[in-house]
Amino acid sequence: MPPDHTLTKEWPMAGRPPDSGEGPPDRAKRKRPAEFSPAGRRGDDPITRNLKRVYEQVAAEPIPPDLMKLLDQLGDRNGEDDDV
Amino acid sequence: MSEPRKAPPAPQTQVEIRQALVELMPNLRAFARSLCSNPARADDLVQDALVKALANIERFEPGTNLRAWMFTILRNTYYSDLRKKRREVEDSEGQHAARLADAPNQHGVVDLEDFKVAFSKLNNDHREVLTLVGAFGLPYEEAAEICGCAVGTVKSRVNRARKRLAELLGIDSDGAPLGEEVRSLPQGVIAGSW
Repeated sequence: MPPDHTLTKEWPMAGRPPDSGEGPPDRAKRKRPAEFSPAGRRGDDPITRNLKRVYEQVAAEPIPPDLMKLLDQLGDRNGEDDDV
Repeated sequence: MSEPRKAPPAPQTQVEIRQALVELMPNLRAFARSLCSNPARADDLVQDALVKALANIERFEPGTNLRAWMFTILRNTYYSDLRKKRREVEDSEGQHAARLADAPNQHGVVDLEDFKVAFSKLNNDHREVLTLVGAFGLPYEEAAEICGCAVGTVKSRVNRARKRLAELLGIDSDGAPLGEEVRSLPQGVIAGSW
């Protein structure tokens, strides 16, 4: 006896059994891109490695005296700003 | 497997705040440089942000995340400046990148200078999330707080930025060189900026 492929509420696509295993093509099967893990979790890919190298270069530079002088003034200034 | 870098203990006193700011300085300078490329301008940006932070230090709530507060001020300062002199900045950044542009190293090893050039071609949104999440290892949540957007937005920006950077460098996500057909793209295509 041939299978009954009449339309039902559960599977309104004519001529296609619900459990064919094929499912809707492409979209559902499309793999989502792997989510990048922050550097602490995955630090060995070339992009992360270079990002860190650039950061390390900057971090190795001495802090300019102007900036240090500013830090020494901590608390001496008053006023407000929209960017804060 | 280690976790993303957590926020350091929250400073409570002005002495602690000062010490925390000193410790933050490399990150602030690196973040500034990721935004505006030019080291001198980046340090000016840090200085401006620091002046604003110190002038408003009473608005910082002791015990909260100083790192996120400072990054946010620096970022806001950058975008305020950018709005003020948009044309001038974009033009100079574009010309700067064009002068530096060169074909990326195609031997599977990414040269740091090539990387910097490619990085400078990313847009601001992408540069900042890559620096915060990729270089500093901040959690997505903190990066989202700093950038003033949703965590999901940060995640998708990071992914798009990495993909774009890989394209510019001529590598795939694992660092392997792309095929000849991609490598032989005209330089203008490889090094095209946004």
